[in-house]
Amino acid sequence: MVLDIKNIYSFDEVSIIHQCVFKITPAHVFFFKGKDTLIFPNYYKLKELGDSLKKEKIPKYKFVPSEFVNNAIVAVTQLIGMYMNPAFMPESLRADFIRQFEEYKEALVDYDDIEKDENIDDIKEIFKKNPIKLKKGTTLPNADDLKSIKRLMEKSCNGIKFIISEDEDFWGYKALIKKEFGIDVVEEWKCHFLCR
Amino acid sequence: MRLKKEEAICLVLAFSKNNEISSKTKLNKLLARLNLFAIPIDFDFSLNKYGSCSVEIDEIEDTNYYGSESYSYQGRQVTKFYLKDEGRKLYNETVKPKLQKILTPEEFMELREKIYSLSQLKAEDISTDEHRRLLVDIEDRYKLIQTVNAVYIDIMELYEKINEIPEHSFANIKLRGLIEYCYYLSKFFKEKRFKRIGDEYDFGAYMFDYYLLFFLIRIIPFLKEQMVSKVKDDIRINRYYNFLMVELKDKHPFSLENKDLKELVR
Repeated sequence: MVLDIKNIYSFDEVSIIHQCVFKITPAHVFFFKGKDTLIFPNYYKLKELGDSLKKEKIPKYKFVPSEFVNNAIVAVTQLIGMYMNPAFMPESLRADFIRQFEEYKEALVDYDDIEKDENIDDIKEIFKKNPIKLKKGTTLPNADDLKSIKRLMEKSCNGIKFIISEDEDFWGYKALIKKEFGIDVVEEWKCHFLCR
Repeated sequence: MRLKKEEAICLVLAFSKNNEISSKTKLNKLLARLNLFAIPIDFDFSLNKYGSCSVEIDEIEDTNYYGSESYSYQGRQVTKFYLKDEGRKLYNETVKPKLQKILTPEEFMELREKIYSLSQLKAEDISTDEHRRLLVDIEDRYKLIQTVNAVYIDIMELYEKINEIPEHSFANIKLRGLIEYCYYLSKFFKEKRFKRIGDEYDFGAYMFDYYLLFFLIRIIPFLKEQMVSKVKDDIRINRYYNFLMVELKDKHPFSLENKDLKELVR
């Protein structure tokens, strides 16, 4: 697929968090077998897409207001948890990653904003009528995801509207979101195919 | 946030009576005092018989921000320092906004008043006050050891309850990190740094050990209060976190930037 300026490329919040690179302080390196940086599993795929969009001067979008706090804490804990038992995770390590994430967040200027739409009753009904049992157990996407979908649906666009996400709330309902709202959900781990 | 050398000098001059400091020794003492307020500055201090001493202060030369003048006092040639207009501008436009980011208005006033009142004392009196606070004198050795032990016990009790702090905000995560770090620092002081200090004056000691012990004494009530407080004081948590875990990185071996840190906490 070729990137197109007519398309909208929007990123779910967690996929923005997944583009943060964490420097491991020398005191903590021994926990990570000598690694000095830590990245999320799909980092290079997201980077490839981000770099390509930048090269083509195509804007990237994020949804606001954001709720980075909970998502970032969960994501950072999971990332460190890939290398050690969370019960033995040094608090100073996690705190340092959170500090680095705060710096990363402050420097997030290369995204345009899409304001979430608070009025989601109508689209919620559509999901309720077409429930899917998600792997994580719930049957409906959470309200915050619905607010993003609603606004993206309303946004005018002459091309394709993409939302890149690793959240099952999106890709679990991929077909319904395409059919009812005209939005293409791209699984985060496949996002690099958008520019290949 | 760390104050560069010229910024730190402008700060103490701006807060001193008549924007002047009457000797190099006094300038040394006032700059050292910023460490007791957990304000990171670009000067290193070691312990001599008068307390904190930085050889870098001997190398200070006149700049656009401050100047010096020699004068005779009790038969000795002494150098006094004064703030220039450019220095006042640097203080107002750079230093003050930096401080206002990390200090509450009350803390800012406390610092201002403290530097102002100290600037009216003799260097010797400032030194005596510093000795008393930092417990560097041999006569205070017993008190120093007692303090190190008490700090360790207090922080250990907090560290044991660390899982009671919910993990739902950045401030809480940093508070947990801060408590863990303080615990290991106090353990290092108790079991290594001050364990075999002996009865001799600690000549040449790296002053940051004493500043950090003083910092731990001051931070304990805050940590205790924050453990139970539903609304966290983000500004002060961030400030203390940055002072200990970010700004100390090249100032003290007990730093996350030290690859051998784990050897210090064993």
